[in-house]
Amino acid sequence: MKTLFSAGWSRTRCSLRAGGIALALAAGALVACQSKSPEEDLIQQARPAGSWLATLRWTGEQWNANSVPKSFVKSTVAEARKDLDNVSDAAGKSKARPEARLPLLQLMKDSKAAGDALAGAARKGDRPGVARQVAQLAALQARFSAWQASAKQKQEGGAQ
Amino acid sequence: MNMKKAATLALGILTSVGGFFDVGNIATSTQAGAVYRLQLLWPLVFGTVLMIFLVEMSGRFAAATRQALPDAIRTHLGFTAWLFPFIILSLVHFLVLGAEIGGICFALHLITGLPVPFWALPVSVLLWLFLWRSTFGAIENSSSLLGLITLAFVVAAWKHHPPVGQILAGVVPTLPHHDPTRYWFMAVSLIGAAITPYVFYFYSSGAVEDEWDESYVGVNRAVSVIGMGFGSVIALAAIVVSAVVLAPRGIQVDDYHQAALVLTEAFPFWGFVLFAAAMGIACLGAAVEVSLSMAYTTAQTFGWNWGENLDPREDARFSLTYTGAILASALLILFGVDPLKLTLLTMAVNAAVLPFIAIPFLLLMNDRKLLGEHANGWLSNTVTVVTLALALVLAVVSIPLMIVGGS
Repeated sequence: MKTLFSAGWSRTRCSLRAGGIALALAAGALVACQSKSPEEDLIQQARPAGSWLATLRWTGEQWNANSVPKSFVKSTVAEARKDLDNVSDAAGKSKARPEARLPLLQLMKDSKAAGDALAGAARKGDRPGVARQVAQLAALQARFSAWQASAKQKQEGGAQ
Repeated sequence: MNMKKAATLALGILTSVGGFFDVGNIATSTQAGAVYRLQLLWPLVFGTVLMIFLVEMSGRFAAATRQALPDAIRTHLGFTAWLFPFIILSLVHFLVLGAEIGGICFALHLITGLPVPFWALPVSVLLWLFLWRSTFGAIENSSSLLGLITLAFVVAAWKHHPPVGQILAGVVPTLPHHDPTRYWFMAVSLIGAAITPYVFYFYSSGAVEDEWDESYVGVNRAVSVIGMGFGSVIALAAIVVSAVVLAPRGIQVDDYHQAALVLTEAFPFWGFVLFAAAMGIACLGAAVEVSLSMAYTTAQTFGWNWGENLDPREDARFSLTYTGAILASALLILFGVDPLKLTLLTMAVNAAVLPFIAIPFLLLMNDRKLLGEHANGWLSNTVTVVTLALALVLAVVSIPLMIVGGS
């Protein structure tokens, strides 16, 4: 029985190896087919920024509703900052047209400032201050959505 | 059914809470719900069906032969045939344990505000002490009881009155409306989170520790379905809550801080604390299981003494294995590896390596001389082989795309 199973195992290994090579080739071909314009790349790299703006806004709202502690606001702002910095770096290095990347750079600068102000207001226990930053973050979210729409439009225009 | 058999249902609850609903489910479910709303319920259902089959088989094997899986694979297929799957399984154990410890540390970070790496060593010492001092029964009962807190996700989903029609539609596989690479990667991660290989290896060793015999085959079937079903409902609820709460706000889970807000709407004051407690406890239960699973498989592979019910002096190498595993995995978090990224990578790897780990097990399950009437039938073989193959194809195609895509 041991011999029978060893033979079965050996055949299974060979089939797995052949299947694995075929799948790796398929994946390689798919990877090779993926090419994007600089604008498309920038839109994709900026995606976390929109999510973090929404997170910061809701974190502020939740702090004002006594649902999260101050320390959470502080650490969430710190984490958001890392991704906002990454987006700024990506925009700085991007080969996208200036009219697509410069507004994004400014937006990231304003977002980081709003995040810091949110953390500062929560640290001081300043509820009206937090509410102001929540409103500011809502405005930044709207600006970010507008930037995404305009960058997509420019990229489509460029492609034509 | 006598009391002892009824009590074995607790083993199912332990494996589902600690093994099914763990850091992998928290990460993948909240992320999937936030990005694709209810569209990615199907990988979880798909993974659950496969997991029920695998867990049922591993329990049936232990009950029929009174042997744990690695022990039996080594004896019947030979050490060489088991060596490669064992190495892969150990690597997966190491990564999953790191992710679970990261989950506990993050839960403590939420409560205390102290940095995640700060908690790595205290958590690993506590985890080690718990394993060193406890018996298998104590671990089983405490984890089962505490793990009920994860039902907060089910209650939250219920409170949000999710659209039933969309939930049912999400159970059927569909093509993505946007971002296809991410969609397939998330599908693979959800499957990987549902079918964590350590669970069925742990389960078979647990059944041997609980001294199951052939009379437990029926109980085992019920345990597999109820236990895995329990875990699956919690994970499905996490997707639903995330789809209802995070997605409409445009929040995607790129970091655990974003997932931490998922219960605050259903439970305005307690939601945050409930999330932290549920994450900490589910991850603790899973970390205990993974540590033990690693020690079980290593000891059984090399033919050492093993058993959580033995004094550490009686199975020194078994105890040394989980001690080393906990310390090594904690180092990942101590040195600042992002717990969420580690988790998502680990879950995708889980799905990719599953066939390599499950195939020796499947071969053994078809040995009629060993298992007699308890050997696999065509249904178990077909379901397992088809789902394993699909998981492998999805993983091999989506993981390179995701890496090249830089996400």
